[in-house]
Amino acid sequence: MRIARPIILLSIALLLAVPGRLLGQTVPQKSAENINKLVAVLKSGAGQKEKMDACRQLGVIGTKQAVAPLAALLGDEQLSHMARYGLEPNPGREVDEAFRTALKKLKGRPLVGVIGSVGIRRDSKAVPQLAPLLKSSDQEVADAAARALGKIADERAVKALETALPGAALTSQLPIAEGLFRCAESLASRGDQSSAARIYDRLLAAGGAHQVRAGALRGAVLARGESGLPLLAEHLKGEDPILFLAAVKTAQEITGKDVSDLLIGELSRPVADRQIPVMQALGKRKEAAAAPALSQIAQKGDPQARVEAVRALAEIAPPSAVPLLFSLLSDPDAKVAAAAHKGLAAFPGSQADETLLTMVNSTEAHGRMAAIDLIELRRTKTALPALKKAAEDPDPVVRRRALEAVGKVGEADDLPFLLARFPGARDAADIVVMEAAFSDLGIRSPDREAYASSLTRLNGLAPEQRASVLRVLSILGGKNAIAAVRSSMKEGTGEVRNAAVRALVSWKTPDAAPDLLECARTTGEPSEKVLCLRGYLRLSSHDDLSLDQRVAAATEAVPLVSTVEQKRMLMSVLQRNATISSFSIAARYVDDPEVKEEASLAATAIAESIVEKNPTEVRPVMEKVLKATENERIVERAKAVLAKAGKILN
Amino acid sequence: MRAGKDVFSEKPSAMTIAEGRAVVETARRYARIYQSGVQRLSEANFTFANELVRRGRLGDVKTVRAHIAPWDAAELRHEWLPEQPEPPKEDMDWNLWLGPCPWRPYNPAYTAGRWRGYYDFHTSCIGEWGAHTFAQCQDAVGAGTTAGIEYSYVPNDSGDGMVVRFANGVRMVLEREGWRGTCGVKYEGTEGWVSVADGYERPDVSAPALLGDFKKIVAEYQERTQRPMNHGRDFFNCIKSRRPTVTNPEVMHYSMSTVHAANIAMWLKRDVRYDPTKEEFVNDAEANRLRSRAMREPWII
Repeated sequence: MRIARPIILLSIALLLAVPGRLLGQTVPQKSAENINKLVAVLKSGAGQKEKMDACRQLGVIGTKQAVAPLAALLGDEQLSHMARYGLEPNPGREVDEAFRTALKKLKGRPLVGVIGSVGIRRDSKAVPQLAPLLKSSDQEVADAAARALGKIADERAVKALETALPGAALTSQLPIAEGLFRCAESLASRGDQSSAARIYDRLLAAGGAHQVRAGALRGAVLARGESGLPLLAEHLKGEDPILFLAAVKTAQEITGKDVSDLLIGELSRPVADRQIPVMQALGKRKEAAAAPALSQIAQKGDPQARVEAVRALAEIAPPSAVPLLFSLLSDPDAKVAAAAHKGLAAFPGSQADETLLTMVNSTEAHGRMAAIDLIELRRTKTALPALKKAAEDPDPVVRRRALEAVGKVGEADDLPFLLARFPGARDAADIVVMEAAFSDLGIRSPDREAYASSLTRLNGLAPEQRASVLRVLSILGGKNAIAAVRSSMKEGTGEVRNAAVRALVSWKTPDAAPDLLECARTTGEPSEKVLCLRGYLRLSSHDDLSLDQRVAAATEAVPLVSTVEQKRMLMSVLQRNATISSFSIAARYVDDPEVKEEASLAATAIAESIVEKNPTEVRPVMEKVLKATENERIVERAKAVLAKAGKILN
Repeated sequence: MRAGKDVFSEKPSAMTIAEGRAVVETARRYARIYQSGVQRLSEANFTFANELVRRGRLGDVKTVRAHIAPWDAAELRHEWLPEQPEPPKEDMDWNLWLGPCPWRPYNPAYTAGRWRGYYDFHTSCIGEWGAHTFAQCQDAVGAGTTAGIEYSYVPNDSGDGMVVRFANGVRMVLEREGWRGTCGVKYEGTEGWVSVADGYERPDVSAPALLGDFKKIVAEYQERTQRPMNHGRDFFNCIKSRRPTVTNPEVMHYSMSTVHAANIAMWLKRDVRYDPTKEEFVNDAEANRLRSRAMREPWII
């Protein structure tokens, strides 16, 4: 931990030479002048911060000239890190020389840092100095040396690490293993696979930490290529759970039939803990040859293994699995049945669809229901005739499910089918599912106006059916829909009028706003007034309106606002639409004890946006806010606005 | 991971290109499972949008748009906040909080969220949301295991409007506005578009019919990949199966490489070209110096 030095002000001369603007940049302009200035900071009596900034910038633009001044700071506990920050990215060989010199002199944390930088730079010439440090009594130094040697990974570095491994203290084993891993990776990338394999073998044989053994097995297999398969097989069959899982993971990195065969072979051992990861690996490999073995496990065995087998089959998706997955839909184990259902819902190809067409005619109601569920999930267009037939099913549950599915699977062209049945649907549950189907088809319709028009032409509907149509129209929106709703507002009574009002209240576009305002003004029903005003205020801040339109709309509502809830909604609308007009309205409510906090917040938030152009108007209201509010955050904000207004006015 | 742990890491997960590469290598070296907290790759709306692209439902997608944070700037700050007394170590170990970053005096504002905007701690307004949105865009257009190759500097303070080009010809435009929620992406194809951000009930699409298959498409993705629409669950599943997570080290590293390269273009105030295979800027010594930062001892890569 470092102790901060007292902040030392730069000398006037230095300030003139190195403006703060230069030190504050991430990338200064590369010029001899700038480099000179930054080097001058390092050599001066400038403070820690300024020197750190100069180091950072020299890391980007420093040249040979910057090396010695930076290197001079490597032993300074406060600046050693930033000296490396300046040196490490500089590609000049002078930097390596400077680091090697520092290796001879430094101790403790600064030495640890320099060793790390030497590793990053892969300076082979430093190996003779690094190798002895593996035995340092300072554990951090020894660890850093091991990693740096691993980065360098030349012949001498490998030898030093291999020699150190057998006798290493427990605390040093991991860093040395890390160094050796790095060497092996470097050797493999240079094409020396056999040397890499030798290192991995040594790490595997050394035992030790589980992650080292796992990584060593992976490396030993991959470095050998095809000749590594026997080793992989040995550990896939082995009893060590760490190496077994490492082998499964490694298998996922190798393509080819041989590895798949090894994995499939492992499925013959009926041990769920082993089968499950192997099946998951086969699933990821999309290995069709695994289907027979997976099918067997899916039918009998450990419950969790059965679920995983079904999932793997769904992931691999061989056509041969379709009949089995269908048969498992009725499996007594609910988890297996659910996995089969999910698998079939997403199973590619037409075979599953063809089976569904047969199944939807099943004599069993639960079979027909399962088929309809899957047809809906798969969006099987070819099943629409079958769905329409099921919509006449004598079982009302099946019938309603089929009607719902027509809405999900069908297109706007299927509207006449639903329209023809709607007048006859007097049961409330039928009306509900048909309403959902109308909405689903309508939302996807390419011509919503025509679709809405077809709905509005329905005759002979009961009030509850007309109400249902109005709810669908509110979801569709558009000119035809709103015209029909207006008409129902005027002519309708009871349930129909109520549905028309609610349709307007939930309208998604601002074209319903005038109707809502009118209703709020003229209705004799208090509950309608509340609903319409709420709907109007919601639409008055719609994104489709301009800022002025939104404020004008909110202003229209002011004479109608009376309850606390309405006042709060009004304040919320005003707060989001900052103009001098919205500010004036909010200001009027600051004294209202029912909403003084909401009004104070709205007025303050608006004031923050408009104070620059309206300081005179803002000031008295903010003073009023300070008296009215008990919220500390609003007080803080209002004071800030007042200060700003004062500054502008004075 | 060196300690033998499987790791879930909050994004952005790497402050430099070199750090990202170290995460990739360490996870491989020790056969570890790693997941970056880029959770939108496990959310249904975003997955649906990506699937539309992968299935060709939008036609040929050559332009994607990625949301960057509408606050802060690409140019980061270097100043220090005023020093205040450090709290007891058992409450807050300032030295440990700083980790490999350059030392600076303690001020409680940093740990209360004001670390944002500082070069030592933050990846700028580009990385703030780009850590999510770039990974999403790259995954959608089949560039999940590569990074952008060309970055066009834009003369503003945020990178808004920067175009990043990938080797497959797709352009990714960085934008501060354009969505109703946070961390949005938009994919534009020859036959349609999809746009989605946090808070959307369903993605915005060029034609409502595209949404008709929403559940089907998401369900098919889940079965085909065995990825749940639950980011944490994906991590735990992968710990058991030893399969790579949806935001495995490569996904994190390559998307963050794009973030870092975009930042570097902004800091250098000029276009840059990047080679994702060599992981270096092309003939650009100045940019290459910004690929890594020396770590404060005793932290070393």
